[in-house]
Amino acid sequence: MSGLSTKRLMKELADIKSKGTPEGIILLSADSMDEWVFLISVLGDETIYKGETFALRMKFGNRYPIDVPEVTFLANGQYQPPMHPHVYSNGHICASILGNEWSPVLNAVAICITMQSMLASNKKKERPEGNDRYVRSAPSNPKLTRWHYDDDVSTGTKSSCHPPMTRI
Amino acid sequence: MLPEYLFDNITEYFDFLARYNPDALDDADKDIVITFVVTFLSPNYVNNPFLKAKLVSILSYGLWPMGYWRKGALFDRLSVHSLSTEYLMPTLIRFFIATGGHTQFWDKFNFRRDIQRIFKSMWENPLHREAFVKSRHDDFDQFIRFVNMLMSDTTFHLEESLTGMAKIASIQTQQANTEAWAALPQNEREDQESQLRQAESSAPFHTQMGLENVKLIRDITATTKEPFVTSEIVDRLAASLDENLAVLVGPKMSELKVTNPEKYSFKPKDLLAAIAQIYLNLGNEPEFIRAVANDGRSYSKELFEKFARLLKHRAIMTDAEVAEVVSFTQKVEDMKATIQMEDEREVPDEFLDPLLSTLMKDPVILPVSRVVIDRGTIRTVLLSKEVDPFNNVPLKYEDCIPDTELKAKIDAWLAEGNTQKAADVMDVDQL
Repeated sequence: MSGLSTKRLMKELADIKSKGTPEGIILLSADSMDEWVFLISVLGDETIYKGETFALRMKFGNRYPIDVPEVTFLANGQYQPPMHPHVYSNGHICASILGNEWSPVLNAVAICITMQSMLASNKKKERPEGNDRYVRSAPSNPKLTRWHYDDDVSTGTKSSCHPPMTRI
Repeated sequence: MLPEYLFDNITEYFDFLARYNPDALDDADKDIVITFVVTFLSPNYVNNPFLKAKLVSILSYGLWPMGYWRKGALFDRLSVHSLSTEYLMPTLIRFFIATGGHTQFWDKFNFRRDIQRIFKSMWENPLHREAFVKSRHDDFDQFIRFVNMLMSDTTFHLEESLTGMAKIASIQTQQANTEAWAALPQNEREDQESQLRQAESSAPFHTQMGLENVKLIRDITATTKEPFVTSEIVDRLAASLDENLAVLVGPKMSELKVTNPEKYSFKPKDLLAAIAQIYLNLGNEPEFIRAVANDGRSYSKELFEKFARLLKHRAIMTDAEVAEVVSFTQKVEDMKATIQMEDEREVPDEFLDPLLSTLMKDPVILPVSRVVIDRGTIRTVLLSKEVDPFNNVPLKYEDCIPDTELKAKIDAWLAEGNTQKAADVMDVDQL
């Protein structure tokens, strides 16, 4: 592991091992230091995602935590991304804290909590507008998509948000 | 206030001359053009970045080899004109930084390509180099920003370029196997073909820009090392060089074998040579050696051994230079041993950086949140956004308060470790 990220990730991992994670969030794997997978479920009876579990993958670059990690919901045989107006069917997430609102003070667990509350506040299972078009031409790394956030800065995820209409 | 179109007309006229009919300009005319461009490129006169970019493009065309003008029609005058030798470099650096802010993602690369062409051409001139070095002293922060952006661009272009090459190579390999290719369903073939076309159209730009960027860094580090070994840059530089090296000479090397590299301006030998030269330029800087040693992601002794063999057998470097690469590798290995020894000591919590969990070297107090953090860390954070990350209040780097008391404690703790280390070494001798 390289310069910036090593010690910080080791510290986060040690904290998770000693203090545990919030309810509904489980660290599934951190086999390699730079790619972790968390399982996320939404608590309570109110939620439209009752009984569902999602896998959130984070890839940490060597500039973490200065740079935001690459965060996607896994879309494979075992796990499917949640039906949500900010989550594309390939697992890409449009959330400003994963873009211009990222702060190095945040960490892996904080990202999980944000995702959990993003799901908890959703009332309608649907894909974002233009999902099919986006998924067809999307780069594999969602950080390469130039997202537009029609912001509600307070939660970093609410209100509409979308990839640009054309990519060069 | 002048209307934009008036200014734009003059600019277009000069641009046209520089591009199509430089012979129409005599030395006095050229001086007028240069005075015009350098003056209006400096801050405060023109706000519109696209207009400024046109000014840069005039110079860039003026440095394009054309007929009799081997180095471009404006080269001679730009080398001696007093405004140019004094202000061109710092002005370009400032404009380069400004292109990061208010312009579009893709436009900035075109702007910067012109700026880089000028840099490259003017770099041989000692007067310009001096102005460049001087601007570093005058405004170190600006300079760091410039180097930081240069690094980001380089990393971005090389990544795009090398993934593009790998994509092209993989589809070419599939197509070479004509039977298997013909057996593929038609839509799959079409899909692959369109991916190939896309990679073919974008890869050359990134490949050229990546190589140009690496060469620019090579040229700058030959004379000006300091900004590249500051804590906010050095880890990044080392990681980026190592990473690209690993792709170029590592196990993935064969994935880059495209059938017609010239078509995409792909010159892996040139790229390797330039990267190698940067390692050598910085090879005696302790901060750089430490940064490479700390990079466990791409760096390995085996990688550098392979690198050295390749440089020798492909005759990319002389034997003496290859020997320098080998000795650099040894320095890195020694440093790794030292780092490991340091790591074995338990660091007190109050010495740890709150964001990176590393031992702080030069702790500072953030004025509003009162968080204590390492100088290098907050500097890096402020490069992307000028706010205190702990409370989102605007923050200027100059306003951070040195925590001298804690620094004294850390230094004492480190000194204690060094005596211990010395004692350990003596023990070894006695065995």
